[in-house]
Amino acid sequence: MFRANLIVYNKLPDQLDQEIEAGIIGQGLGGGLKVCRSMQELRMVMEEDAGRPNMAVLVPSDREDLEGLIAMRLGDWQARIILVLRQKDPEALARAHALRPRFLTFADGDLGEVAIVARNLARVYQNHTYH
Amino acid sequence: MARILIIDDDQLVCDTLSDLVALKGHEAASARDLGSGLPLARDKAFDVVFLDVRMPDGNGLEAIPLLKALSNSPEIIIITGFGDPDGAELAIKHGAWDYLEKSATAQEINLVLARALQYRQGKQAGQDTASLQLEGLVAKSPQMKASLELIALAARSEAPVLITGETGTGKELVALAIHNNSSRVKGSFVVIDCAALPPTLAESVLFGHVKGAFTGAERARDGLVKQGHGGTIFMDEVGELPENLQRIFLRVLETGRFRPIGMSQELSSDFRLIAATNRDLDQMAAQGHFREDLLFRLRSLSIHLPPLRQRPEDILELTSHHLRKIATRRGQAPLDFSPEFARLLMAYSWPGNVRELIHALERAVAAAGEGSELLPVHLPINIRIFAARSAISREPAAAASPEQPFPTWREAKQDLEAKYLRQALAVSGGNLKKASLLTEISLPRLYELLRKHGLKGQG
Repeated sequence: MFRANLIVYNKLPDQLDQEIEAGIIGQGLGGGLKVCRSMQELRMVMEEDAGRPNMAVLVPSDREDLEGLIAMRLGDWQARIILVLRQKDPEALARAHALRPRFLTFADGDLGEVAIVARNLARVYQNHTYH
Repeated sequence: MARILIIDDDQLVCDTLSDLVALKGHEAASARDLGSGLPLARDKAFDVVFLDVRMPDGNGLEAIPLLKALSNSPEIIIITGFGDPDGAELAIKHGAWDYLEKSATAQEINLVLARALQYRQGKQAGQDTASLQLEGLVAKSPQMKASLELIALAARSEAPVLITGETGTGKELVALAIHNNSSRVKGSFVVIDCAALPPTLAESVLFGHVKGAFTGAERARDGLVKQGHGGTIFMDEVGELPENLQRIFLRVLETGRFRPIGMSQELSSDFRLIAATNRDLDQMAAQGHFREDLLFRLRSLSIHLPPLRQRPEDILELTSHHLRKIATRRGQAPLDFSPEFARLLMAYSWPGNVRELIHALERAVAAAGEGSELLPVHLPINIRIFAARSAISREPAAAASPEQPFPTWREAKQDLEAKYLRQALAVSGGNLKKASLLTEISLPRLYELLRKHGLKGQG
């Protein structure tokens, strides 16, 4: 079992959200899972000085939400990002890379992949945190 | 014409190198020891310095930072003894451009010199490291300054780059710096984390697929190689790339063309590749786990990032930099740190490198609460223990005297424990709950320890 301090950000509590959570729990990563429903909540969790998430699954609701995440400069927090996009337009996709996601997929794709990648990230980077 | 300085105590080496250099139309000067060589280097702006390691008045490697610190920062070629791979490794780690064995042929010497001068010419003609956009990268040490020069060189080039270094040394930041300072800055910086991708998914993620290409491919997907068109692809943990994909990716690198799964025709993508790894790819290639031809392509330009323990000059600079960042995030003024705090940071070996330092600082700031200064007690316990153990192991002779017999391990541990508890009480103002949080010792255990040492707190 790998230690992961994982956060899921999704403003919309929909089917997608449940699917991602179920997959992550299915991979044995549910222990450190926290779900954020607002940008403010996400910011608060990411600004904790200790015990901060080392992995984040981000599901921006729209382009504005994506821009908000980019503006948060999550890269500075050294959390590894998995990004699930609801938009497929090339412009949004190009912007999404500003978050430097370790994995990028789409909301209408196979969300099981998100859980598998999260598990791999937790396995590979389990020794990279010093909390 | 370039100016070349030779510092070697062997007159024959000085004469031979001077002749070779003169034959190539360059101006040569020589010195037989560091005492005369260093002032000469200061007075005249040399482009390249050939430097011997074993000098009568010191170690040549220790002179590298002094030479690199000169305003013209000459390229340094170390002259090592025959068959001394450790010396060669040390030379590179100390920021030398290259090394030569004393037995090198004239052709080898000319080649190394020509490459050093070519590199220097490119460096001077192009972007200065001072104008680089370097988000999060701190370089005070000669080793990191040498890395910055390579970043500047890489930013001007289109060649693939291989960044190596231990975990936490900042390989991704270096890759990003190269991208941000290159002509591709308006394109995407696409990350491919080879360690995160399950092998069954990797090909589709990299190259994409058409609808119906395989079971479950209900929709077409664009791969990351296509998304990287016009920009930079950063392939992290490249040593984890599955062997079948190494072959395919090599071809993509050579031709700029790729085929999504299930598509009959090829597509093209104009991307620049930067790869990174903390693994020994040479060893992997020797064992048949990594393709040598791919390694050769990846290594058109190489940047090795030294571990933090090998560049102590950067530790306090990084500390100040990240304390400022933490303060900005918290909307507060940056905290000061005590000399003891700095001493512990300098004494620790930082196996997790810069990433570990950042985590330690964040923990320290949290532990300091409303305090205005960071103290050793605010640091994570593993760092304090390391420092305490190092201090004890450094001072056994001082502790052993007829008046004060050398303490047993148990006594030394007790002594350290008592000192540590007294310090924790002082920092927490005697508040036991706060002391418990600071020390990460449970409250009942803290009571027990204080009782054992005859100490008292409040709360």
